Amino acid sequence: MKVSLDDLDHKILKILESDGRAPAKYIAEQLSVNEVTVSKRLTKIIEGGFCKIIAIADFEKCGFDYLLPIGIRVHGEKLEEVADILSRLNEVFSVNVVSGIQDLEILCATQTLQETKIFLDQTLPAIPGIKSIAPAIASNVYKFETDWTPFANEA
Amino acid sequence: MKLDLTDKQIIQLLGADARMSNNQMAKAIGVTEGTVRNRIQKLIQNKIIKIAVINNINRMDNPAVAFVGLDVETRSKDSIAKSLSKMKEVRFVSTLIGRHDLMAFILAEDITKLSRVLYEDISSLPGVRFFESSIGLKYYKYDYRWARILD
Repeated sequence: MKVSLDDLDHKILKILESDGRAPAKYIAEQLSVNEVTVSKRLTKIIEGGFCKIIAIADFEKCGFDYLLPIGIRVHGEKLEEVADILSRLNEVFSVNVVSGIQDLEILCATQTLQETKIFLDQTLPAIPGIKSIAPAIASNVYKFETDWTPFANEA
Repeated sequence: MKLDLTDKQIIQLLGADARMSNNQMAKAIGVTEGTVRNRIQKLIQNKIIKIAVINNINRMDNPAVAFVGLDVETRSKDSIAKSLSKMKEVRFVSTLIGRHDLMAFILAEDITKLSRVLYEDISSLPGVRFFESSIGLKYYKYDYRWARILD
C-alpha cells in the first residue's frame, strides 16, 4: 500500500511551516492529540521522503556575493559525464539537464570576483565535453522559493 | 553579521535536520545549550537562515520545470521582475548581468499549465521583447539548503 499524507499530517506541517522547531509537545497540544502520535507522524513524513524540515541559509549573508545561473551546451554523448562532473564541484548548487537552446542549466555561487573569474575562465572550460558556456551574474534576486524542491542534494 | 565557527556548525547541523534539539546540538558542537539557543535566534533574526518545510517535488504527479531567459525593454525591467514574482508558478526571478536581462525558473503542476504561464502570462507582460525557455528534464543535483531569504 502506498503511504500518503493525511489530514493530521498536513495539520502538523502547517504548524511547522510557521515554526519549524516547534516541540512535538506543543504541536500535540495545538491539535489535541498525544505527543507520541505527533512524533510518529513526523518520522513518517521525514523518513518517508515527503518533506524535510531544515534550515535554509542565505547565499549572500553567508559570503557568496556571486550567484551565477549558467547555461551550458555539451557534446551530446558527453551529457551525463559533464553533469556528473559539475555535480561534484563545490561552487555548483544545482544541475539540471534541459531541452532547449542549452543542454544544462546550473546555479553556482562564489565568494569573490577572483573565484568567479577562475570558475568561469578555468574550471568550467577545463571540463571535457563542454561546447559553450552562457554565463551570467544574478544582480538582483526578486524571488527565491524553496517550498517545493527536488530531493537530489546527496547526489 | 560576521559568522564564527559555532554559527557555521549550527547552520550545518540545522541544514541536515532542523528538528535537532538545542541540547543535542550543544553536545555535538561542545558549547552550552544557552549558546545554541542564542545563536539560532540571532541567525534567524538576521535572516541568515530560515527554518523551512520543504516538499519533495516527486510528490507532484507530472511536474513541469522551465528555465526562462527574458530580454526586455530596459525601463520595464523592474516592473516585469515584480510581475513575474507575483506568479505562483514562477519560483525564482532575478535580473542578470550577461546572457539575458532577466531569468526566471518555473515549476508548474503539469506541462499544460507550464505552457499557459509561458505563452499567456509571461508573453502578455508589457515590455517583454523576447524570451527563450528550456524545459527541465532531470535534476542531477539540487542543494536545497541554500537560497536567498528575501521576505
